[in-house]
Amino acid sequence: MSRSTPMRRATRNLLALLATAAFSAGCGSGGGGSPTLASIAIGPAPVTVARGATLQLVATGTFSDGSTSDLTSGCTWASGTATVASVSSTGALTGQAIGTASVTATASGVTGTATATVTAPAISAVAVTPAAITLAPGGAQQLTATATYGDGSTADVTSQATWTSSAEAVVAVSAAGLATASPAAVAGATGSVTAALGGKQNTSAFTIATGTLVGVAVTPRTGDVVAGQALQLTATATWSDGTTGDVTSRATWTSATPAAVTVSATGRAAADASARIGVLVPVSAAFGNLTGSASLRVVRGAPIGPTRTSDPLAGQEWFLVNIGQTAFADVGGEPGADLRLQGAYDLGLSGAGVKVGIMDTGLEVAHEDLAARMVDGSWNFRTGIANPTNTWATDGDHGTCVAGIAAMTYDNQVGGMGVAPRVTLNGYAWIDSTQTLEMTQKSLGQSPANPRSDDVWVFNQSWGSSVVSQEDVDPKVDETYAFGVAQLRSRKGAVYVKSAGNNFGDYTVGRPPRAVDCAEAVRLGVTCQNVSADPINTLPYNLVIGALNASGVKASYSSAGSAIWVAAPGGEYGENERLDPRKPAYWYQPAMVTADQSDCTKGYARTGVTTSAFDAAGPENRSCNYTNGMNGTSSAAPSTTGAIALLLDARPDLGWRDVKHILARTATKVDPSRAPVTVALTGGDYVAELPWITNAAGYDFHDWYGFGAVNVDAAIELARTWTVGTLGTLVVRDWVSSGTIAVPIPDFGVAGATSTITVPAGQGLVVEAVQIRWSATHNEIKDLGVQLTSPQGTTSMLFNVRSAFETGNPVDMVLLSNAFYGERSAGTWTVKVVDARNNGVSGTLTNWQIRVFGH
Amino acid sequence: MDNRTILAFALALALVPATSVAEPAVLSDADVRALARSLPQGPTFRSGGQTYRPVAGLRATVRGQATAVERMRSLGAADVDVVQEKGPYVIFRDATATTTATARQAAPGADATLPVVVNVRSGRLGVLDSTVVVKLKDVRSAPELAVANGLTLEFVAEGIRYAFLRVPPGRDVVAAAAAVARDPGVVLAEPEVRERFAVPM
Repeated sequence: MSRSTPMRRATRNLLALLATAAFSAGCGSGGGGSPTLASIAIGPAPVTVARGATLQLVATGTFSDGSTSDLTSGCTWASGTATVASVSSTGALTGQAIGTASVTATASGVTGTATATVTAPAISAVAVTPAAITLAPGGAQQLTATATYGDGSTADVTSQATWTSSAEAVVAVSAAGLATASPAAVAGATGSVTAALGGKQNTSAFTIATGTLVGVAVTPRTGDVVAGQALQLTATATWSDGTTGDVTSRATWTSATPAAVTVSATGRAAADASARIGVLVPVSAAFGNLTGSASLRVVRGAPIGPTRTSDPLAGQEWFLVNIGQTAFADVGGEPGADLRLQGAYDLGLSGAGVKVGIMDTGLEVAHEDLAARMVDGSWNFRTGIANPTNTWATDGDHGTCVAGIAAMTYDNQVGGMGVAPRVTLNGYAWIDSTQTLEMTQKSLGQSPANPRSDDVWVFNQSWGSSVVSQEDVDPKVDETYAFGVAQLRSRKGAVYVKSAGNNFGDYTVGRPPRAVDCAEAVRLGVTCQNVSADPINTLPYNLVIGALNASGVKASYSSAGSAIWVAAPGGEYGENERLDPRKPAYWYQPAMVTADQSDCTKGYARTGVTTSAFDAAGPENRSCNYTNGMNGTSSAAPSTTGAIALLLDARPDLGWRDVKHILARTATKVDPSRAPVTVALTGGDYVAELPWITNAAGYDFHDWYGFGAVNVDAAIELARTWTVGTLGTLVVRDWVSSGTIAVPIPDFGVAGATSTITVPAGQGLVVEAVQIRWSATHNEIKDLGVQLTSPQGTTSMLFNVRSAFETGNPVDMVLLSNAFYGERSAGTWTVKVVDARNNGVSGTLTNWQIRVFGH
Repeated sequence: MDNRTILAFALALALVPATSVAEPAVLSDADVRALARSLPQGPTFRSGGQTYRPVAGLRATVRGQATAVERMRSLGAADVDVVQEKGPYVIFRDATATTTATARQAAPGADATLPVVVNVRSGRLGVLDSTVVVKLKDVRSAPELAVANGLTLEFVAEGIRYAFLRVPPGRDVVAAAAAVARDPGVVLAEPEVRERFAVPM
């Protein structure tokens, strides 16, 4: 079939088709006569078109008699892949993208097919970048070739281009465009590298640097690498003529601490999953005769914190970062008086992997800011079910508030954030139960199910005993704690955190509540109930926590005593004076902002509250799901629990005594000028409350604060270099007794009754805690103060005068002091019992004993 | 306080008329101690490092969600029978209570009333829970021990080798503990006394 003009071709096609149709209609299936269309061929073959170009296709029909006819304009054209090649109704084929497509032409039920190939358009130009390079001898530079096509498009053709060098001995170029200068290249030598493709080419001129290598820099110069993850480093060389070059893959990389961070030959720094969080690892890249360096810090994850979270109330949580915010009270606190934990948050520490058990009144497991923290294992001892939600209290669930301080969920756009906002939680609703020994043991780690407490890392005990007469520890409870610290957490020991008590100035006992007479204590300025009066506080297995307010000093209510280990934020009352006037000023200072029973029908925050606008469904708390009125050493405990969770996030291998030691060693001495409290007795002044002391091992101690305020960042810094095992094995010595004695305790006399016990050198330990057990025939314990002086001359007040105790003789009353921590126990200990109330009651010290915990 | 004073005090308490009040009168700890001293007491036994005696004339019950007064009324007792609220328990006067340390149930499934004990040293009252706490040489013996003594095994704290055995109502808890203690596989067995209760801090 010959080519013809379009018009003539169309006319012929039409005639042919009409003839075909007439034949088909006239002959039917069995007819003869006119020839029929047998096949269609598509041309021009091969069907090839450049991307963006158009090619007119021709359809040629071949009939049963062998004749042919041009059917181009009479057939139906189609493309199988129009995104590659499209075809018009008249057979105009347009290349859309490089590739192949099936093209068909159909007429009278006959279809012809061809494969159309779309090729790249002709290259109109090739560019090489950089257009000029300067290489040091031995240096290298990656070049890039870019093609520009006839349709105006461009593409990176570095790997397709053919690369050549005008002086291969000076600068060689790889097939991938990497230009590498010979180490023997002569300074000042010049030439070019050429990239050619599609008949086009271009060059990049090279010059061998005339300068000398003057520097190698590693970037980032300082960086964080997440434990278990990697960070790409880059080494860049600089020559004296200003030339720079990426030498990452040619430098020799070294890590100063490969156990923590390794660096591959390609500069990939990988932190070991168990690397110490916060450790700084110098790394270096050596190139030529120079070395560049960087400092990498191993972190747990992305930094967190109240200024980084979407949690709307986090900014009011002064105990995290105190900037003087009011926490919806009337006045703010002291900037910086907080847990000092921003550094921990910068390291990405959040308590992940640490399980906390909240032994309390309950825990609202469905609370919007706690639900994500809950894991199986909670238990309700009051109702006997696995849900510890407090359904019986409508005026606030203490345990939910406690849990919130430690663990409110991070960055979930509601509420606040806990101190350790990624811990997992169990709640043990125990306080409102019958508190049997079985329940107590189950809550303190003895239970594998219902509750699951044997996998808890940190137990929070925001409870205590408000007593006015002597109590004693059930030895079975003592044994429960001793087991927990020895065996739980894979024998590293669970950490037991406990509130010191809220009975400094006033308190109640019994039900209905009966106010205790604290007038004498208040007048003198000493605690109304000593921390050791709650016998659980005299167990060295507990970390007993005093409370600080937002100004960084003892909260108004926080009980004092030598059994305190450290102090932590607990807050004041958070009230608004306009709603609840005429209270002491501290009532309007910040309390803790935390989770509360959900909705406005129950909780500390609910409709009708008249003490705090926030708690009365204020604009920031329409849901009433949060409160700004939580306080107490109940709050100081979860502050500390959260702090410990951060510490264990950084160093999961720490034992419980390591934790205690680190907190003590790093605590901040607050309220440093606090004056002693003295009272004039017969014979002279008696110091009823000691000022800060520094013991012979160098530890500062005060009965209000223990070793001081928890300082998370300092603790984590010490933990970074702390060696587990430094403290050796805990040894609990037997009681050493004075035997029966009869030392008069004169009424109101400063001389008091003194007695000594000598711990033999062979029984000596480095002290971790000291208990005494004392008995006297003196019917007014509240008159008496008990102080103990160590062989190294440190004096601690184990029980203060003028407390609120009721009448009764002390019988084997156990007291504890942490003030001797780190001292040596061998030598003579002296106890002194003084009667500081002039009421005609005197007595006799009849026995005392001492027991040392240490190593 | 001499015996005549104690008797007068006890009589005075007993003669206070019943009234409908939301909260019962509260006795001070000293008053409670005096009352306990005035009442017949049973033989001593040890629990939790303390020495106790069962006290006649007093019983205890778990208050639950009810007020003490409501609980008294549900037991058919008078409001003024309340002696002391102690944790979740209400200790109340019950003239029928003897020094036998048995829990009593009005009917199967009903809440039991519990014996009341006094701490010999402090004079404080406690409640004798119907549990015998046992320290075992080998915790595997706990089920057999329970069966042998007709008690119900409630829980075993394997780590510290404690078993908690439930004493059915009507059986003397102190006697049950003494029987269990005679087993050679037992290190310690004693009735559980609920005397001290923690409160939120």
